[in-house]
Amino acid sequence: MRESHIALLRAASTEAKLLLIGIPVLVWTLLPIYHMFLFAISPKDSAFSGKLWPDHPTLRNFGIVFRQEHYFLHHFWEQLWNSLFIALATGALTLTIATGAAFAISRLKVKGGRTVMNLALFTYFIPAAFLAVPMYRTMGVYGLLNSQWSLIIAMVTIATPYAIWVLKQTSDNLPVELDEAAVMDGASPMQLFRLVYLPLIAPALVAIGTYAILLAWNEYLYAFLLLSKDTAITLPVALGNFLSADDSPWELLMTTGFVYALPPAAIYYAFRRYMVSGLTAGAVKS
Amino acid sequence: MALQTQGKPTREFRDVTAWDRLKVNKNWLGLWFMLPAAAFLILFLAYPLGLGIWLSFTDARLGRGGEFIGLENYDFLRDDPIFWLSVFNTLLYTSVASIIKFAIGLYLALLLNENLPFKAIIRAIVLIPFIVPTVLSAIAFWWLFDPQFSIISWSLKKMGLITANIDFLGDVWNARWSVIFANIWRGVPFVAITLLAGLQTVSPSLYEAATIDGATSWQRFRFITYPLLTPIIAVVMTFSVLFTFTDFQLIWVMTRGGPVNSTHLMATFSYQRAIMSGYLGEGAAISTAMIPFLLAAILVSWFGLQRRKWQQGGDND
Repeated sequence: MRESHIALLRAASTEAKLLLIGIPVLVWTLLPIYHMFLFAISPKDSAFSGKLWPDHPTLRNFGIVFRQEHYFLHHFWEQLWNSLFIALATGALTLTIATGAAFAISRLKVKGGRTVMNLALFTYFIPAAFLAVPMYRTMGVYGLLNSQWSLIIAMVTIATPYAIWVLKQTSDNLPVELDEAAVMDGASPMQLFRLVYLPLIAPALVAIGTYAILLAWNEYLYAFLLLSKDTAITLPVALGNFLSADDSPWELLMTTGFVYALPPAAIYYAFRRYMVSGLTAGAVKS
Repeated sequence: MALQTQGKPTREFRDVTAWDRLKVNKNWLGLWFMLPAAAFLILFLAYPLGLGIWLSFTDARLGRGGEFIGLENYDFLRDDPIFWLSVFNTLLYTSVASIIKFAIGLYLALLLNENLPFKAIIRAIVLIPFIVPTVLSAIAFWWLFDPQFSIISWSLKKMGLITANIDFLGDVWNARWSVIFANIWRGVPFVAITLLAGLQTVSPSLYEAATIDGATSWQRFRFITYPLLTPIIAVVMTFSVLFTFTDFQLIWVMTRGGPVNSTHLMATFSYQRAIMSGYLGEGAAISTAMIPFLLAAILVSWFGLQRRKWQQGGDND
């Protein structure tokens, strides 16, 4: 009887704590997002009224964006496609390169593999902003400026060290006995890679693929730096260009932004099980 | 080898090609597997990195190569008040934002680690700022901080706290606090979620034992949670500091470094000098000046990880 009493009290106190903390957190996180959403569903003239819900919510803004009916939106679909293509290519390339390297280091125990690994880890401390200027010059040297491949390559380069690290950490946790059993059965290293290794690290591959895709999809600095043609830029750069005008069509900017934010949110929530366990595998391994 | 081929005598008649050797030889295969990663890292990471440091010693401009001029760029920067202003801004931005992000993130992580109702929903909401693309959050904040239509000014006015709109991004100090606020908003989920992952590895039996011994909740945090969490705190804080220190996108979209350079970070300042004004050499020198700070961050994390070794008495990587 007494115990249930205490449990009840404790439950009440956690609930109070929840309300006390939960509501500010909710307001704090959702305010900018909600504000954006409000713009997207408001007609042009009532967007500035400061109301919590528009008098006449409308989907007209989405129609204008999808039909590319504004000066800033003439290449909307093309830019969306650019973002998609660059993100997917980055994901695929990162996975290919990092899986190979992680397999070589962790399972084939290549000589010097650990050194390469540590060097790769060190590069993880080199921030994107530091590399931006020399990367611009480098792409010029290789003749890749204004080509979408320059952005894909830059993104793969930034994603790869982390990808190798996570995948290597994951494969180190796989029991060696599996490899030994496969070799006993006469598997060549190639078969070992295809039939034993890849299926086992599949969850980590999902996490890394998602990570690389989101990284490329969200990238602004390099996209802004390396691409310049209206038909070649990605959606975030196009959004940034909105701001350079004095009379920005805010409701359209926010609508486009909303469309741009939906795919990463969907991907993230679909794969979040893999994301949290996969990406922190290295950091929280006990 | 002899044992294997006994069953299939036909094998002996075929020459062993280089391809065959490659398929069986672990080291060869390993090299091939490493090659793409190595090529990428050398061509697109090591080369630009070296180039960046080299450029900082030249007078290169956009569109033409430069001559070696020694430390001239650095000498010039030493006397450039805007450079020192950007260093000050960067340090202020990084230290204030990192400390607050850590405090809020740790608090949220501890809260989410308890058994709360609607935990899944709260966790999903906490993650939102992390998922929204940076440019978009910058735009959303730009609007929240708009001098005329800011919803913050509007609600404060309705509450009767202020009479005139706040000029968030037009005033030197207001602009600094505003961008710091936006950075905190964006950075908290990363800290909270990673610390939460760390908290979940702490065995509940430790807390039970401590509770039986009569430990208060503060003691449980101080003597169980905190020591066990130290390694992951070190990692999280290193990355948090690194990301904040090198922030570019948020500032560039919101203020472009203004008003009167008061929100220029070293990263945005470097970009402005190198790409907008075309002085590649000088921009590279500003970037290179970031290295000592980054090294300091690596050392902090390294010692954090070292500590984990002696704490657990064994070696782990």
